[in-house]
Amino acid sequence: MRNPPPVTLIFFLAAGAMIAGMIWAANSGGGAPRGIETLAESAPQSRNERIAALAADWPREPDYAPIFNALDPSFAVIETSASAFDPGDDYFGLPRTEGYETVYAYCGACHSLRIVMQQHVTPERWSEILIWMSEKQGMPELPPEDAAIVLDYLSEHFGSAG
Amino acid sequence: MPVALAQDADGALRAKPGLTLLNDRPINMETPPHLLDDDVTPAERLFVRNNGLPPVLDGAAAENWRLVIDGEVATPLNLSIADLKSRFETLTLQLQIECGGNGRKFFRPGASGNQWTFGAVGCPQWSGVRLRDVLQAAGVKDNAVYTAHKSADTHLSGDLEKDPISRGVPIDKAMEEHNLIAWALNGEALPALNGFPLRLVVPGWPGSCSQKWLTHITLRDRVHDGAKMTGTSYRVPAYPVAPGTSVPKEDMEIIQAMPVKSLITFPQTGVRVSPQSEFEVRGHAWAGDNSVSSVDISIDFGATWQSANLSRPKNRYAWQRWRAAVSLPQAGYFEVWARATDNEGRAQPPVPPGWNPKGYLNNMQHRVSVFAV
Repeated sequence: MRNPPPVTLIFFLAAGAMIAGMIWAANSGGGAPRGIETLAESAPQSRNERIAALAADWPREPDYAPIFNALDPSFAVIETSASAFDPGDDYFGLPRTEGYETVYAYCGACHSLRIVMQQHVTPERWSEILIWMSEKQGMPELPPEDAAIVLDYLSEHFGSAG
Repeated sequence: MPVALAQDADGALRAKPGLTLLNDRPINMETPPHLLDDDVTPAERLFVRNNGLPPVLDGAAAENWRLVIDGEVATPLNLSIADLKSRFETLTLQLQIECGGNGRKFFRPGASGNQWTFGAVGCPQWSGVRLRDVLQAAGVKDNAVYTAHKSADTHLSGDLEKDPISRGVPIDKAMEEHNLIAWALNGEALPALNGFPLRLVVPGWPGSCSQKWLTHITLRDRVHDGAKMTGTSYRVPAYPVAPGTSVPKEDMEIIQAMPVKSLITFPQTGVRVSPQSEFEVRGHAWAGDNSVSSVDISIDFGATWQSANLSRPKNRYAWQRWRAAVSLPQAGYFEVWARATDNEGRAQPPVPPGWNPKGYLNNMQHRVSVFAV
């Protein structure tokens, strides 16, 4: 179903991404609603320092490939999510590598594994999600050795480069 | 209302045939763009974004329902739906509602959450009373700055102390005259999956501001800190960040109005047409708190654009119908791109804008492929 994007499209999208960045910059100056105090740590000066730190960490020769995300319009007619999810499988289609039973037990107790298996996020984000689940959403805390296995499992099978 | 039947995936798909199921516990479904072609979105084609498990209700639920208004008000209220109907003016408005994460799928690196593509949006007709009228009846105190919404759905963990979601809006937005406390959609009771028997509709802002199964509105003297108000939920960086950045929490700001956007609802992507033969391309456009000024169409990957005919909205916050006559110059593969521009001159970008950790506010142009043969 998929066609490679024409070369002209790639050039166009490269220029478009720069324009989109400028639009984003122009749109994001909303400020706090009336009557709501701004926190001291949100003051522009401290923000500028954090932005300088982020800039210092950004690679001098970044890999732009993941940024220029051309949307293939045939996307709409293919399966949009959870392609590995299998309601007929004992473990709902979880890949059978180390940790799948733990993921099944911890991640599937309250919510469907569909939401797990449609993700493509970074290992850092998976780590944040696991902390959020135990701190805020009622998931029992994973023993440290299991936590590492679960994080590796999720990052490997439902991860994102970059 | 067959609420219990709609709790599982099969029931949800029977209630809303043709929608794409993203998650089954909790139910989350989006509508393919070509099924959003109606001027007024039918109930069975309105997306579902649930954070918890909907309440299991019987037919008497609407009669027994209570809505409490309290907090920074002069006189707390405890109202039935009959009270709402008898004490306040009922009005019917066509209001667009869109999930803040619509388009999340297209961010790289990925953003966590339901991987919405284009269809977490709809624009049905809602009937109810103005949120403003009800708050004014309770008497808004000067120190009220934010609303806090609560509802009868339950947290997935089964912990009844936890709210699946409890969001709110600044008091200025709450007092805007188009926000409704609604009990009907297109003249019928609300669908079970969309908040029966009572919900908020706060158009132009992320759909999460429009609490379903609404039971409680508290006016607060500070920014509401309920479930999914804090952390990264419904927040974006205060400044543009490189894709994949871990953004300091204090630099994440609550999303307010949604950005300008459009959909191509006809033809369906993948359609075959005759070359050098005119056919209609059409869709809808909307723009958060703003209005849409123009919609343009390209058949050459954005090299050239032609204006579409754009209708006025039925009322403020209704989406706007656009239509264009298109003819493809030769046989071959084409894409139709649509680009809406709002009344402040802001247009949709061709790529996902401003990467953010949770993948909100992706208003990139919608494209369909059209083969001329």
